Amino acid sequence: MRILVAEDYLPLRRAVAQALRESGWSVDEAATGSEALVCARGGGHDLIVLDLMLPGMDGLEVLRALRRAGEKCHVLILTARDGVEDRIRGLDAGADDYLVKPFAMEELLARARALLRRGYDVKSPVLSFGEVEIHTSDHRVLVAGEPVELTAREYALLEYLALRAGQVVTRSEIWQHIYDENATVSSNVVDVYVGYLRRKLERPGQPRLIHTRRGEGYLLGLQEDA
Amino acid sequence: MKSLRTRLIAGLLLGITLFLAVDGVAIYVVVHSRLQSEQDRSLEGVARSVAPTLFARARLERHADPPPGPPPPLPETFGKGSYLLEGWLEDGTALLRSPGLEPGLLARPSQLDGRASFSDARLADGTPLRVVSLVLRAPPERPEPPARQGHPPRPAPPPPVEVSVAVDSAGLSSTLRQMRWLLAITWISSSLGSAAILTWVVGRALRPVDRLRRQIDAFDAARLGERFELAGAPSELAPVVERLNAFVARLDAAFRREQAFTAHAAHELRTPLSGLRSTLEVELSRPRSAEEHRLAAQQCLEVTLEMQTLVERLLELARLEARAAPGPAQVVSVADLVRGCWEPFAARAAARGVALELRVEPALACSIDVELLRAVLQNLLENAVDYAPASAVVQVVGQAADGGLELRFINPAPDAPPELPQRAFEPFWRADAARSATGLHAGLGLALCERIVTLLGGRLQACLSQGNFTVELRLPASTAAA
Repeated sequence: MRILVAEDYLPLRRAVAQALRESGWSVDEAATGSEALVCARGGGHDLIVLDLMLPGMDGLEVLRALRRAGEKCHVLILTARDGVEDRIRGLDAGADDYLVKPFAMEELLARARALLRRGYDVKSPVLSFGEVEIHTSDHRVLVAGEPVELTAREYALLEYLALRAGQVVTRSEIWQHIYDENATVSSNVVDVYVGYLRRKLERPGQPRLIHTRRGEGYLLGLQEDA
Repeated sequence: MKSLRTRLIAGLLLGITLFLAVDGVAIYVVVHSRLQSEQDRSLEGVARSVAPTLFARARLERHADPPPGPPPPLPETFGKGSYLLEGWLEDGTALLRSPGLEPGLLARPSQLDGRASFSDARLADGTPLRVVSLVLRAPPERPEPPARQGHPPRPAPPPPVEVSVAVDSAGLSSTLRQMRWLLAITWISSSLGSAAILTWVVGRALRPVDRLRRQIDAFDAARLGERFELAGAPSELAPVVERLNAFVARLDAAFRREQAFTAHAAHELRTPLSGLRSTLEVELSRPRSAEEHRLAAQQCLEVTLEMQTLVERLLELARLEARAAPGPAQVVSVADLVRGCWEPFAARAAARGVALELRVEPALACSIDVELLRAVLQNLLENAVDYAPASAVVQVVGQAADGGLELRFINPAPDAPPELPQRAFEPFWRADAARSATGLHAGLGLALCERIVTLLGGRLQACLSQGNFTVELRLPASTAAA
């Protein structure tokens, strides 16, 4: 999952970005309204955490510009403005959720998870594929009821593939949603991580969970390889 | 505490009942007196009408030349028993007495001057009597002409007689008693009627006051935007309502300022507070290395210092609001003071290539609370340093003006919004809505300056012209150094 945090107050931006990264998502940061707009346009973000009082360009202006440009990513407004009118204005401008400062980081993460699930038309916080269960709320993964240890990156990859279960996901899409703009990793890192996931989740005699589509990408599901 | 309504009704009712009582008593006294004197006059007339009878009887009694024939009878009124009569000679010899009249019941006239005296008596059966007693004298006769042939000499005049005539006064007493009852009933009913009318009239007259009281009762902090209305109120209440509304308007404005200030202050504190909370929550969300802890603590400390600056500004503002007068004045050189105030920002300015151009007459001095003026100058210089573009020149121009002092702080502000001069002194207002400099500039600096300058008796104005933002500080003649 790729998230953009647009917040001008550095200590807050730093803390939110760190919390999101530690949840396994790739995070981009913007300190001004215009930066946020440039970054969000075509950035393929699943979620934008947007402060309203941004220098240069107001958060609402950024939001309206994004919606005018047809951007469908979810937007969570994070602001100190707590008036009902402010909330209405924000939601009417195209935001999907609204959180008032100061907030509990756990709540921000829960709302982010809910918005991300909604983005992939998934309601349940538990994604099940045969013996594999992915608990998105606490990032637990069980295989045949037994917990499996995954790194944050492995979990992020699994969650992204699971949310797009049944679809072929290209390497560049995975790249875009798992790694942020500052990441410096080799080009075959996706293949490496898919390999790790297969080793940890797939059991001999059980149907494969992650299928390779040569020249296209990967598909998560219990169907047989084509 | 008695209500105005009770006081008005009680006072007016007391006045009306007293007035009615006095009127009733006066009417009774006058009517009683008239009826009594009427009866007395009639009684006296009756008494005098028996004079011929009594004189005849007196002549008989004295055997002095009695008139021929029987003595004249009593008038008919005595015959019917309406009146009682007793007559005497001056020596007390009874001449005549009504039949059945107890002797001595009617007193003899006490005076002998012929004037009637009136008294009350009562028969043995309790019948009340009105008695007139008087002395009757025969009228003086003309001098006797010389004796003529064949005419007998004129008889001697009869001796004076005393007479008391009584009449049954039960009728008059009954009439007077009825009148007393009538007056009493009239008094009571009038008083009750007056009380009812007064209650209605006073209640109606005080209805606007009641309406106003109900409006005041229902008034609270949530309804400060409303105003008192008294349609059809008497003219006496109009100024009260007007003053009340003016007072509420002032209260409303003060509440709004207070609410806006509190909301702004809370709003300003939210961002650093959420920065602090988020940093700590993220830090505590999983095990961290000592270096990570140190870094987080450092970040928290930075945020805390920003919040401290903000809170100190707020406290400073609150203290200034409560302060009534500046401290003792000291004479200070304006140029030296500006240079001293620039020093804390010199390094920050140099880092951005911002320079100070001081154009103040060296001899220019003022007598003022130096600490307050220093706070103003530091705020203005800090703003100029932070908001001027890199490599800009901040000008401070000072001169004597109108007996006082004029200082202008000028810095280039190419991106300043046009509303900057109008809104620059509003607490928490910033040219850029963002809080990228939270803690450093919370939008309180110029508001603080304005309060201080007002306290010093001066004036602070801002203007934006040709890309330059100018703050003009004017201090009154009272601050001129002697």
